[in-house]
Amino acid sequence: MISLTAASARSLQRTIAWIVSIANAALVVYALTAMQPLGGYQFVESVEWLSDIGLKYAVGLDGINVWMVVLATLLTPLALFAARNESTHQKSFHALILVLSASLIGAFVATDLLLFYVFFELTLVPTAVLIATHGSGDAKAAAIKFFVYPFIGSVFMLASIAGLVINHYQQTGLMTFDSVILSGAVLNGTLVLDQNLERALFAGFFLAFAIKTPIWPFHTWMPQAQASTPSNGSVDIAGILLKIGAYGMLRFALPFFPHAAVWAAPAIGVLAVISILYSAVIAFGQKDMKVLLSYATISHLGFVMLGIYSQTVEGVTGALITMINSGLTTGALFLIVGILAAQRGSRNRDDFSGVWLTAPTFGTLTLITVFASIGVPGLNGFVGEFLSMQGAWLAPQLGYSYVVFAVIGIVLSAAYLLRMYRGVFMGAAPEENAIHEPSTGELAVLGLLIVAMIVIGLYPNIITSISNASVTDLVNSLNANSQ
Amino acid sequence: MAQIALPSIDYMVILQILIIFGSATALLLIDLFIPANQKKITALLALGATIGALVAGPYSNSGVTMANAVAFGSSTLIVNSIILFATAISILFASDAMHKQGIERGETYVLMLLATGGMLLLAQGASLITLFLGLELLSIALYILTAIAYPRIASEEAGLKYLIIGAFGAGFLVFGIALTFGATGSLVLSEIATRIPVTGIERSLFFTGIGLMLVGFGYKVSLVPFHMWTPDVYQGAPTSITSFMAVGSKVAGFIAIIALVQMLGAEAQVITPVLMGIAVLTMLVGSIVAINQTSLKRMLAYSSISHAGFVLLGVLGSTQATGLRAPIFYLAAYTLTNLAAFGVIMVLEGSEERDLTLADLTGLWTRNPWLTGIMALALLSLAGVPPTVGFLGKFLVISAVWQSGYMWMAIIAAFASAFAAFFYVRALLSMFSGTTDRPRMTLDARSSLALLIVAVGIIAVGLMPWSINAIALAGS
Repeated sequence: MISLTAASARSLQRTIAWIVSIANAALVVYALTAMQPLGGYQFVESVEWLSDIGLKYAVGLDGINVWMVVLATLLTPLALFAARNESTHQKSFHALILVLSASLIGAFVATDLLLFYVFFELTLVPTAVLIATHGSGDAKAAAIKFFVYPFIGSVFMLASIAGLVINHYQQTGLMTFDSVILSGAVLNGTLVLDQNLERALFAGFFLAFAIKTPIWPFHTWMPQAQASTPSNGSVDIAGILLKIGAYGMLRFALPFFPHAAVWAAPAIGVLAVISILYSAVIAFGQKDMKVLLSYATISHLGFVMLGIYSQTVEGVTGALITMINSGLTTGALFLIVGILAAQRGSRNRDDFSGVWLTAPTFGTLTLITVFASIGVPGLNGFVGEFLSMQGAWLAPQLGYSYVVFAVIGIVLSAAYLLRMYRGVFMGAAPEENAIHEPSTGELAVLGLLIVAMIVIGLYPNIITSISNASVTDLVNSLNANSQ
Repeated sequence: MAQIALPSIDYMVILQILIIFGSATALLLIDLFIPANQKKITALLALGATIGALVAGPYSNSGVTMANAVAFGSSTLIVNSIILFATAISILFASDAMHKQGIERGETYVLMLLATGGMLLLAQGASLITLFLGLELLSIALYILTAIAYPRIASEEAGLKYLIIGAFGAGFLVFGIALTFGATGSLVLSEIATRIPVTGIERSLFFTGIGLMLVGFGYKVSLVPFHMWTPDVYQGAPTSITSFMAVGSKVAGFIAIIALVQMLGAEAQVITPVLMGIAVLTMLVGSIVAINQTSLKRMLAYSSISHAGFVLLGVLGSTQATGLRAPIFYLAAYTLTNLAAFGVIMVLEGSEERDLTLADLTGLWTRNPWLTGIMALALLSLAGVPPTVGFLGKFLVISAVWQSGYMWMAIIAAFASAFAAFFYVRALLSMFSGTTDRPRMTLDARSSLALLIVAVGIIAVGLMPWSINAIALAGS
């Protein structure tokens, strides 16, 4: 239903882009209200695609991926909004953002494994072209790295997909890429993988998703790409839509290879904690605010990984909420940096001071967003990080020692974000060229994002009431398996 | 005196071959009466003959004829259709580009038809003699075509190189055929299959013969270490000829290799390890060396070497349950993709003779968005990014190989394609970054049509892979 309305938007006009993205958002909101709070997929569509190898065009929504789709469809208009004053390559920009949005939604809703892979790879193309056409500095090199690095990971996932499907075929005689059938076969024991084979296949999936997420040490493509994208933040907002890595871990890597996932969880937990701490420390030293934010994203995704690999209901729910938060909050921060950069022509935090004095409303909204990102209780960031850590603490394969280090990450995130805020918004305003209040439209958009942050912070039930059944099903199947 | 018994001939089995050779012969004469500045009429006639043969495909009879020398079947139909499709597109390309560059001659199209006839013979060959005839016919026509841009030194040099290396390869092939004949007493593939010696000196002779034949075909499809000629010849030949050569001779050569491997049946396991090694080397060498290339044609030459490794892997993976779907689909994907890539390069060359480099792609997006789009599709398909046809080809090969029990080969193939992604993506993103002061290129109707067909094919076959079968079988 939702799937690919955006793909049909071949028109290059920005109005069409707006209409499509908003229509899409409306459809998603409709789907959200029509969702039943049950496990399993709803709104399923399935068409035979290549029947002799069992490939289907199969999509569906459940309590987990519906939130990913919501995020993607709500941030698409935000990216268009951030780029509204951009004059160059206007038409290609809108077309590419829509293609990106379509392929992302496709990846989130696909229940056929190979179809997921198709969309997963397809997201690379528009993003890399966006960086190459709209970027500054050595944009081409950044774009190549952006494309090739994740591509290498996903090629190994392709080999793993082949291996998984063929083993299933050899054991059951059924050639299929249907993720429900495959994970069901793993659950009820009709598909039994040799221990080493399972670990090898898991490694293929893990590599692809870890690079895409990204977590340390697979993250190097991301800050470079974000440093070369245009200052208004439009492409970055599109970029933080790229939650497919973490989503793929949750949806595919874990249910297919539950034993290998438990086996690898401690090591992956260590990587996640290093991600949290390392990016926080690096972010502290950044003067370019966009690069700072990209490290903040990596830091958030460390919490997501921790939550996912806890394989507990709390942890997975926390991971889901953190993914949504990271999209909302970091999206808002990118927009703020874009507004600042448009007025001053620089993203260096040292070029700003005393913005609060000349733009108090903007300063207030920014402060709330920063608090949300740090994880102040009452705002959305707190809920996600708290649940992720609770999950990690409860998980037998992780435990409290991971949480202790993760907490240090939260302290550090307060340090780097508040330092940036103090430098930019506090102090004396410059004599001339002071930053003035942004337009009403910009303030309104920021305000809307903040409303969402407060709602999730005060009433996370709005997410969990829909996601809970699916998350519980998923976690139960994982635990049943890994016994 | 005993009468010589002529074998009966079912002309409907060789229908496509007859059409191509018949029209090539007729066209050679007709061309004499076509004025030098009207050679596009010759091109049009050759195109008509090719399309005629393409349409005749489903009406051909399945079976074996001419004393078991030539065969026709459902997979032959698909392969023949791929070859004829490539020829038709190449004729469109050649008639535009060669005219612009002032090197158009009527013989070009006759030679292209003759080469096509050779490819069809290879695809339909059921005896070693037919395979040899097909390969030689194909090669000799291509030697001339490579050197046809007469006053151009690069073209002459490429033609000479190709001739010498090709003759070398043909020598291996003949020697291999002789040894095989000596060991089994037959030239017909189906008879040899039943007479494979199980012990003794005959067995060594037989497998030496098979090995030498594979070397001969290995030159043609540029498997490592028989690939050295490829970049030089691809670079030197006129681009429209390069695309024809890259596509047609590779498809035909691989069909011959498939025929040999199938003939061996279970005995193929004797040579499988060696061929696996060659496939791995071919994939890796092609992908790694291509990274260092700046000339677009050389880059595509190494890319074609790397793809040859994939096809060979698909052939080896297909000896069991999966059938020949993987390698034949891969060849079809390769054909569409390379025709598109070389086609765009040819249009970009315009009337110049210069060898285009990566830098020439910079900023192409701002001056020729449609060409950029087609080139982008081609590069993505070469890299194997969905939803292009190249992705499905790659996936089918990897899963066929895995299914046949060669898990490591599947993983190495994944490695090789990861390496290769780098230079495709570099070329792709070059087109979208920077600006250029080079003029916008205009497209002739012929090139536009041909490019449009292959670009649509890259996406359409990628999304609807069964369409290849459907198109080839239409009307039957």
